[in-house]
Amino acid sequence: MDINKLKEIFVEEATEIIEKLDVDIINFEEDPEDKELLNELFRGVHTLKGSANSFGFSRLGEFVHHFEDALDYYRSSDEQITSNIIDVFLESVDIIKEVMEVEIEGNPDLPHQYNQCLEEIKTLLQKKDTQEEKSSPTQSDLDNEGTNNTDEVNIEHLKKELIEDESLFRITLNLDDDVYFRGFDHSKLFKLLTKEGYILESHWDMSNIPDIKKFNPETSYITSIVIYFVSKEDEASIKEIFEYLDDTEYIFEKIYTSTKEAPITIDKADIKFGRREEDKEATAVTPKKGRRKSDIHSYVKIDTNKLDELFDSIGELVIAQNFLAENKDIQIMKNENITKTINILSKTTRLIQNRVMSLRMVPINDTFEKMKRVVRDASKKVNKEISLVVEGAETEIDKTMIDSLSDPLIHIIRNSIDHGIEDNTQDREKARKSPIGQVTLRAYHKGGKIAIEINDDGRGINKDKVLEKAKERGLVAEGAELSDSQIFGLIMQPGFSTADQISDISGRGVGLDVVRTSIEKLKGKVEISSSTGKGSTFTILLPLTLAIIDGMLVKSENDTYIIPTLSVIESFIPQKKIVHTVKDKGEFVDLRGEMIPIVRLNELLESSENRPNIWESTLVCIESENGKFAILIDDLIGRQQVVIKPLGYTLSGIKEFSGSAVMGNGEIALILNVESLWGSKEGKN
Amino acid sequence: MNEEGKRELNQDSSRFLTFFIDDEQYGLNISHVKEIIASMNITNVPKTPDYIKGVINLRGAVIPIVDVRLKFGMDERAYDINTAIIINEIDNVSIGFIVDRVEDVLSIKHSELTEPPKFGTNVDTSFIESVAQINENVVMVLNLKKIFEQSELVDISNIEKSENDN
Repeated sequence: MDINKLKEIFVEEATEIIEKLDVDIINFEEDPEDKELLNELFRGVHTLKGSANSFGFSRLGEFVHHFEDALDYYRSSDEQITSNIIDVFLESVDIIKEVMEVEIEGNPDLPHQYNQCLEEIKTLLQKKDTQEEKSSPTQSDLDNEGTNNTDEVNIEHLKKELIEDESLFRITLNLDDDVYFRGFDHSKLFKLLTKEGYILESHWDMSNIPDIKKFNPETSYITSIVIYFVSKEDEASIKEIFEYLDDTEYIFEKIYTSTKEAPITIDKADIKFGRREEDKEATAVTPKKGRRKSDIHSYVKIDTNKLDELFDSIGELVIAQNFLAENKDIQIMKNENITKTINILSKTTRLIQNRVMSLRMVPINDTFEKMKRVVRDASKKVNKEISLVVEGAETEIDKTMIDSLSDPLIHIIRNSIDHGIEDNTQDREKARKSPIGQVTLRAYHKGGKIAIEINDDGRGINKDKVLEKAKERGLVAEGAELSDSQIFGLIMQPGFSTADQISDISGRGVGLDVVRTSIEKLKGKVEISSSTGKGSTFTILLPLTLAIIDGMLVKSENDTYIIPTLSVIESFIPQKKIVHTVKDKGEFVDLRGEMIPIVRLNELLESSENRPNIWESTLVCIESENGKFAILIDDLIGRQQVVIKPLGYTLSGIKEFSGSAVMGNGEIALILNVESLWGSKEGKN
Repeated sequence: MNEEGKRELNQDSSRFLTFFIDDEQYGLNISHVKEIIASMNITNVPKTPDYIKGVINLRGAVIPIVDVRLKFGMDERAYDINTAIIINEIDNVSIGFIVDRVEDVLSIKHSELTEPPKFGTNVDTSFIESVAQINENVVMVLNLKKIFEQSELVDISNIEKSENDN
């Protein structure tokens, strides 16, 4: 392996570590008791230092070295970590990011605040020297190992491990030496126990074990064991495990039941900038539990291209399997074995297809975690206290989408904090709201799509102001009638910004426009709703995956086309009386009082000049950027999940199509690009 | 043939896949030919020139198909058992050519290739790079790049770049 390849791997790993540093620091600020997080931070930084130095990235190495010292100090001392120290930590991570870039580019300059930040870290460490003399060394938690009698301090310590509804039990075993004959086995007991809960500590009395020469494998020499066990189950069900034992052989005590509840109530004193996470669906599995050793999985890194190839092959497999299943010759044979085999084949193929699909899916959690930092920074910058609530972080989303989702989310969150949340607490109190602004990030499934909501409880979008501004900028014609959602849509138009003063965070009128375009690239859309005084909600709707879309299959002039179901409002065969032809303006259908223009698909695609009667054809009503319109087609075929394939350079110039899709029978159908269908019609008129 | 002889052959001759359209034999440099498949169901793509018959699904890849007869300004002909699709690839772009009948692969010495004569027929000759007399037959070697370029099928600048790289 050559050095460049190694460097590539280093850069990738280092970037991952650095990203995790940010998240860990923010999480640590939320839960300063959690020393394990500090340890994790320290390990990350330590690894980074090692590899940076081995690649000759000395400036990175030097900086990280001091940062590591600081972390090392705090993880071994009891000193309170204040918000200021967290600031220094976060700043250091920023510097690390910058130095990293500088090192990769081979640029001899140091980042702007390199030295200043280094000084700050060193100041932290100087404080350490003066303090170390005062503080006495702390007692190690592991001192108790090997002792039978555990003092109260230790139990207090164990209690801290407990979470909601869990109870701490002390099980004292005094076993007879013939237990093996009664079906007892130490390891079996422990296995059964771990099914009911988890063991925090166990103390074994090994003093009776004789010399190997005298050892009798049929005798149990370990007779006294004390187990500290945590479970949510009641005593009776745990006691069932001990049915092999005599009542005299064990003592079962409940020491303590945790009353610690899920943090639902907002304790004002606990909230600082951008803190507090609440994941309703995840309360059953608390973050602490998530880090327990038994939950650690191992992972394999796979090149996404390889996944795509695999995905293509599976697609072919599905098609081949469909072909077999629908083959008339095979069906005629009526051979039970063949039918059975084909059924098994089809089941297995589906299974593999689903598995491969799920390989591409990752929880949105990592992206949401990154947003905590964004909220913290933004709220400090505009000096508004914000609490971030995260819900549904376990929702899975296509890996390729995750990467392009961060920027839009950052834009929207900053926008919500800057424009959405009221400028001062007095305004909020007047509106009978908590002085702390709340931003909610929520992900969930919605009808075969993924919805990501960014909600703020701020002042809401001022429709009149938006409309006025849009007219001023010439985005809307004077006297135009717009629906609420159309007005809110205006704020995502290029060159629109309602902020009276341009701030550092948002207000240049580029942000939301970028949001819209990048979400559209992901074949999704952004919806805005808002109510004055109560707040606004941005909802990003995305397809489950970029590789497959839910499509409406339609027929026009014997060709099959696909309309993305995401854009379809409804389809119907209109009655004659609701169809109108307006001279020089085209044809319209009156849909519950709304006049919707009709686009004849065959004419638009220049495939024929037939003009069937509209009331004998099918109309598919579409919601597009340019408003609603109805596509006239010959027939509806149905709805199907189809695998998307790009049309390639050769045919990508045809703007009516956004791609093609391989259908179940292996044939290709073209996917209509609804945005350009209506636009191109207007262009013709 | 010894190693030396082979190299010599490789240097002053090239291998061509030959096919028929009507009674004329054409050749394509084999280095660009990916595979030959039997005629299959082609999905029509509206708003494209007539000679682009549409797209096919070749093991998951969507490949546009050009009817060479139409491209050469000849009449369309119903597809029969001999009709084949030759899949060509330049710079990772694949395009299929529909031809009447695939013949075989010929080795043609560079010295046998001559400038194409100016035909007085209705066939567009600008795609013909050179002509070779093999036994009694005349093989017209096609310039793939020109066909691609004139069909606006690929970004020609990319192809040129890749050829310079080679």
